[in-house]
Amino acid sequence: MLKEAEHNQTIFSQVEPILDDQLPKKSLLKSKEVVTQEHKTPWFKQPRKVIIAVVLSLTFLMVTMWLLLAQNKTEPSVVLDQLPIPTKSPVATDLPAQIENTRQRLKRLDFQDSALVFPQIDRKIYINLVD
Amino acid sequence: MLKRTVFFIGLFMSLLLVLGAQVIRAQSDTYVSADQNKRGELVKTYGAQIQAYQDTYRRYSLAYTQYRQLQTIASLGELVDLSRETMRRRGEVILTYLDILYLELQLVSDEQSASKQTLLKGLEQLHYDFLLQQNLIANSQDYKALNTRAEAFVDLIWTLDYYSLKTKAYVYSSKVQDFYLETQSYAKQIEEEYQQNPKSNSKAVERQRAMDQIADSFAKLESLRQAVDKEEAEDEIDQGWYTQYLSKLQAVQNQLLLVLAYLKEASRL
Repeated sequence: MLKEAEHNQTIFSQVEPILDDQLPKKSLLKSKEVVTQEHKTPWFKQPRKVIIAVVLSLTFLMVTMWLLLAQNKTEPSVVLDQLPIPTKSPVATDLPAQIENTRQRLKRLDFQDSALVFPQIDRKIYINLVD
Repeated sequence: MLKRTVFFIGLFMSLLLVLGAQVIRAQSDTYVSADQNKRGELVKTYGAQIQAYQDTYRRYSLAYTQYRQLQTIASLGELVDLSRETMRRRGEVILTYLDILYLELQLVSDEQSASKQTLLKGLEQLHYDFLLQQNLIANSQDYKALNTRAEAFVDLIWTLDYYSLKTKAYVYSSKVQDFYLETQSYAKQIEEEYQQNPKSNSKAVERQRAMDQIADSFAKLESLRQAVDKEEAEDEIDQGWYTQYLSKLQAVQNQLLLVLAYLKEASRL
């Protein structure tokens, strides 16, 4: 029993005691080492960060492209009085709607387009001398 | 650090993409409505030129009155100057009007039509003749030279009258023709739909009635169209002919509207 107690004491006595004020210093040093190491290695040489950057960029790219494509599907803004009659039905989905669309366009067909009216001009500008 | 880098990359890429897309969109919009933009610009120019012509014409009328009252060399000189200016402005109005007619005719769908090609060539020739007149007017220094230009103008304006009426009639008729073809295709689609999806007895009778009604309407439409297509002698083409032509086209338009109304109902059966 005495021997065993002595042995245990020997083992305990072999372990280097950590003092209270030593523990934070060591941790601090270790974390400083890690930070310094991170500073030394550029981000693009760290696979984890490169993967995250690529994934984020691709996601952003896809979202932006999707938004732009959705924007492009909307009709361009134009001055209506410059467009006398659209030639195709833009949004008609079923046949009755298509027919109605054509009917409305035909209703708007005007045979008195002001741009085609012959100009009001004096056809004979002539200088008659006074006798 | 990583977050900041990713944020800046994302910001840069999005800016690049948005700018690129805006450029592409702008280009595509320009392409789609290029003809309409050109037409809009021409109509705008036409309006401004008519205004300028009217202003000059007022000054020319005053100069004419002044000359008749004063009968001096100075007043004659002013009248000559203002006559030249008014004739030049009038020429500008006509040249733009010809451009509008030409563009309108070009926009008409049937590319290979011989009538269209003849009209286009006629308008080109007229444009050239009026342009030549403009140069001659600009170089006319006295009243005699201007009177010679005035006589030549009267001949040209009769030709312009003819081409103007013919072109307008052709443009409106082609637009109605496009609607006619569209209407025909709807009738065909409905007929095919009926054949592919036959209905029960009562519905079949209703469909048959609709098709009969549509056939009758198309027959009437055909006779109206034949009246429009009737060829006229060149010397018969005047304002009266044009008014009649438009009333015939109006009748076709009304009949087409009726047919489309029937087709809309028939497509629901």
